[in-house]
Amino acid sequence: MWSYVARRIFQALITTVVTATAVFIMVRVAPGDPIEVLLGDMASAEEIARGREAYGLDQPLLVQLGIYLGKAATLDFGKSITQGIPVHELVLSRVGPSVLLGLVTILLTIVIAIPLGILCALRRDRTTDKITSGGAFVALSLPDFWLGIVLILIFSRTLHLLPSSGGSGLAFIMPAVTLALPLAAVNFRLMRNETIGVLKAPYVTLARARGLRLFDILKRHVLRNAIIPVLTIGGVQFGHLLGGAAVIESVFGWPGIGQLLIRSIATRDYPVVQGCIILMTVMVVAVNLLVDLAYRFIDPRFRSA
Amino acid sequence: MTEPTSLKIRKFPVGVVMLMALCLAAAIGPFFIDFNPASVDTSSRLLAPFSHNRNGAFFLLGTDQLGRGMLEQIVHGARTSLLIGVSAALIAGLAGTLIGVMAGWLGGRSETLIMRIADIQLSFPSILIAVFLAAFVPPSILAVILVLAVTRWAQIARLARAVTVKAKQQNYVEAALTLGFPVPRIIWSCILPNLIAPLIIVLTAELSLIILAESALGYLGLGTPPTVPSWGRIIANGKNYLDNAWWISTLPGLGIALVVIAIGLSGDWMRRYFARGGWEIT
Repeated sequence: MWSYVARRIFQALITTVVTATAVFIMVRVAPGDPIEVLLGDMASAEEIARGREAYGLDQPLLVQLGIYLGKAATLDFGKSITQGIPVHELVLSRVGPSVLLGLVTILLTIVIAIPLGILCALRRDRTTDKITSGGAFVALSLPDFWLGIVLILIFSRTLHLLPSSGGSGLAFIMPAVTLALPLAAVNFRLMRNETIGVLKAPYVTLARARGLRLFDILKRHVLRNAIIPVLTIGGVQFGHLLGGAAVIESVFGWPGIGQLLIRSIATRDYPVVQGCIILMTVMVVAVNLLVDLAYRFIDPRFRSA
Repeated sequence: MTEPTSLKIRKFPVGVVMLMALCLAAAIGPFFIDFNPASVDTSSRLLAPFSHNRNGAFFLLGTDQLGRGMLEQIVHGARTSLLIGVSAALIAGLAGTLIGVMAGWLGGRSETLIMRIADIQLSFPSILIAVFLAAFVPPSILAVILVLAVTRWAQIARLARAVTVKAKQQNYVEAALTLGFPVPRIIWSCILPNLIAPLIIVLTAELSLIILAESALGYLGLGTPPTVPSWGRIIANGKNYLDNAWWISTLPGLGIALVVIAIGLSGDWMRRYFARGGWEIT
């Protein structure tokens, strides 16, 4: 078990370093000299040379990569070009709202997907199942940012029930619903198919033959087995939301890290872009690692492996 | 996918027909319906669908804040969207197949390395990768196609590798090797045929994801240049006029949804079709 944990932590570290290196390469091959961007059009050749030296850009590329990775490990990404604030302050202040939105979203998907999945597995191919499965199919076909705008149109502009943007009060509801719908559709399908599979298992037949109530069978046998893959995927989805919610955070002006990333890209604020991407990477990798380990602990079949 | 109840297939594949109709409209529509992104017509600003402007011109789907017709924009946006989607899916399919078959055939270190890279990429949300890459390339249709292809090769490489590894153990491959057939020929005639059906199924799913990602990039202003009409960009533009012109943002979204639904239905139909033919579709 512990050798597995060690191996997974090592893999997670490798993933982080590989991604950080990819970010480094992208920033270097991107058109536009970072120092010229930093100093503006008015800088003289001498100033640019001094800037290169100050930022270590006159060093060989591999040395630069080493320095960069060392600094990234201590969350030192320099200062924001547009705001002059240290990048880590800017980026870390966005973590809370992103985590909050991610948690609410995942909770919502689980609340939607698990009961519907069980219900549709029991009512397989009947009207309830057909309508819900059809709804899941449609939910996966809609562009999420468009769904968000439609929600704004309905609940904010027409009914005046919810705020259309910001990070306070009830503002989390619409972005969470927007993010949750397609994910809930995925989890619903998984829960439905898992439940159908478990319902066919011999121990369920036996329980039925023994005359146990359906509710008890569902609770004791079906839910406990069918829920494991759904919880696993929920964890992975939570990790993905920390980075992948960027578009929806922008639609609703939610003050998360994704919105900061999109805004920094628009203003070409590359130090902040780097900081966002690397922090997102760390979060995604950490959550994936935790999910993987938790899975091993939850499912007894894996404990000895 | 929802577990199919039976392998019954419809005689009339609604999705396939719908998709072909949409592709046809996107391909030839722009020749009949003209759209000039630079045109400004103040007499027909923000007209609702089914209305006429002062000169009596009719706008089936209304107009935007510059008096440009929504129908025109949506038809031209459809062409952009499908062109980018199909090209990116084909490039990702080709590259993914090449890399995956190579990994599966060679085995050993190179296989481990390639599949680890694929795993790392797949552990990130693909939209994040697309946004990140798009931030560093100058906007053009080709750039968007390449960015989206890069975000989707890994899934295909995984499939191609799995199929190759399985096919490589078959007797006919061993026989061909013993008989001294050149490796490229064995791959072409013994490995690739196994890949056709699963690849088509996966590529259809990928096409949907690519079209959705393209529209998201367009929405963020990271997609095609402003002169090229794109659904995502129209939706972003309409977001500023939600109070007095709901149709600008909503209609192109319905277009995207329609295309993605058609692709999804086609994929489902093909899955059943291939399954009936004895293919194992994972």
